[in-house]
Amino acid sequence: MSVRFLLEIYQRRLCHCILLWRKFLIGFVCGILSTLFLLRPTVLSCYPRTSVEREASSIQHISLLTANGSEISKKRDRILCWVITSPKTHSRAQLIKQTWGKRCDKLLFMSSIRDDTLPEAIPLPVDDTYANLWGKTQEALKYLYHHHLDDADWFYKADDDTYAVMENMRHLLSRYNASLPLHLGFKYQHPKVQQGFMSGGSGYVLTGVAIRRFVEAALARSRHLRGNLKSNSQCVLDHQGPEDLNLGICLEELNVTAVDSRDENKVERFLPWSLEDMICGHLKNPGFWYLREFSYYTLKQDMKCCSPYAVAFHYVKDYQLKVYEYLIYGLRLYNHSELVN
Amino acid sequence: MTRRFHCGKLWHYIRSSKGIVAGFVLGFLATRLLAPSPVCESFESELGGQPTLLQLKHCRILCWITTSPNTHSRAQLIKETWGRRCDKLLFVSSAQDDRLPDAVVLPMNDTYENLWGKTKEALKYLYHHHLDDAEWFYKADDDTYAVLENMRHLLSSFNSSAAIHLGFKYKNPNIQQGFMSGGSGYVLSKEAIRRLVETALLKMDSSDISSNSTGSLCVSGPKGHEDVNLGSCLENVNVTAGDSRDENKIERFLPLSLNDMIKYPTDTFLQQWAFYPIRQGMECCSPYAVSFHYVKEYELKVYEYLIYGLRIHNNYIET
Repeated sequence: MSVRFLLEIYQRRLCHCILLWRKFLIGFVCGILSTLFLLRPTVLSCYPRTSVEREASSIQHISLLTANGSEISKKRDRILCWVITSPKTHSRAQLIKQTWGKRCDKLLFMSSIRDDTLPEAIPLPVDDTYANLWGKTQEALKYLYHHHLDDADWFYKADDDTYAVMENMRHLLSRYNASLPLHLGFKYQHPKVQQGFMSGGSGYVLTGVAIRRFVEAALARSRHLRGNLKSNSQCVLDHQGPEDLNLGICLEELNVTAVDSRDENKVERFLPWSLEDMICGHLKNPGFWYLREFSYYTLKQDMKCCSPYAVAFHYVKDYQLKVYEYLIYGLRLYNHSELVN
Repeated sequence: MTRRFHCGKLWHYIRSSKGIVAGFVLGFLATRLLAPSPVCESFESELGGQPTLLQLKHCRILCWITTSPNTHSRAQLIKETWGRRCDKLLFVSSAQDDRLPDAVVLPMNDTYENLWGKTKEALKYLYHHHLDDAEWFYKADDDTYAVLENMRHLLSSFNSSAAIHLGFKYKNPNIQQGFMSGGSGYVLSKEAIRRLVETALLKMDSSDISSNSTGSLCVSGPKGHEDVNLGSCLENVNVTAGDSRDENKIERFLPLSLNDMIKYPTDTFLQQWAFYPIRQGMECCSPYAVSFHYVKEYELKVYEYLIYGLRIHNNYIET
């Protein structure tokens, strides 16, 4: 009798289990189906790029938010871009005007003559050769000092084969105080400059204070006065010599700080060699050792070389400027989850 | 008495629905665990291109890249960049080596003149071995850079069970619906390959060599322009040449290098032979472009960085 009683209990429990089990199965299937339905739109979403394209010509109002979002809109720092060009490459200057140059608050072209291709070029009183690049740079800085120091907070120098991403430059500069004597760019080390100097190729940024200090020292020197430079100054102000190294030496003596311009992950933002060399130089370019040996900070290889928020690319010649413009601002990645949002 | 009755009934409901709830939760968790999360294939990630459980079944893309032993280095670079976004990636070459140990080797002399023959062999190979692996089959050269997300978007607006091929369309006096440029790559649907191989290619193999002129749907022999011959063949077996342009009628498959597409908007050859009118300058190329040609060697990595790596800081976009 006890066996029958036990059997009955088990039977009841079994039915109970089966009942629960059926409900469990229904719930399980519903769970799977609704998850599949919910996840379906996001399957194909792969959207690391957050680029948004707006036509420069329709820009009327600039809105600025800081990275942490807690501050209210502050006064937007102005960037003046000055591009070193020469009569033979005035066509590149035109391409810069049509691409990244229009994102600067002010755009100037420093050349040695003015012509039909570039009627707005500022003709500097120099012999326009590569050997005289240092002389040309000094003349350009003097010109900025005399005419444009009030037009901007930051002054970005570029070559006419440079492509700059101005939004990322504003993001970089927003963390610094433009009223300090600062110098930003890709830093090289050199025995003559303890804090390092900025590569001319990928361009560098100077504050107005930094330019003022340099030009006033140069003007003093030209009047045979010492100015703010040391008595045993290494700052050379002839026209010849490596532009970037010489500028770095002078700025160090004038107490202009060479800033670490890398991103939060210590990856370079100013890229002095072609992107191909930056990424694959270790595989192909015998001259790559120079970059590695003399860069101030350790360089990373392959895709890790270059910040996602890179600010400037070098050796982007002629129509490549438009190719970069298309690839960076024109091309989009289709994101199916945009529909969900 | 009544309160206890209500409690009892409530408890009964809870107990009975506990099973459903438990099942639902477990179903949800199981699906989430089994289906890999839709992680963005960032330019640093090592994710392969294998189909995920949740991949919409009608949208798998098999990419087949034509390469040759002296450019296997490019094939490797494709593997490391856009190739991993294909659901399946095959390299068709004339030999395997250390750099490409799993290349598909076709019984062909690997020369440019034999490109048509190589293409026919490759299509037969796909038909015999990979027809069930994908719904779409994208052919590219080893100096092509493709944007797979945009390709999926393009293909989603076509019926994957139709007989269709897509690419940059050229006009040809002998091909009414036009043919697709080989250089910028083209996509064939599964049905297109099936029709091509079953209706034309296999019959050509089995037929008498001497009677290849009349009634043959495709050009026989290995020589001739691959893309023209393929276009003609596909028209003969009733495969539609689709319009691959975007909503603004701008081309998505770009046959010249980006530099040339932008710089030479009035390139006479393109103007004369493109099926649809070409636009000038920066308007040449769709924001949702699907493939770029003449992207050689390390430039593949440059494109990978510029398209997938570089970001524009949103806060400073001018409105």
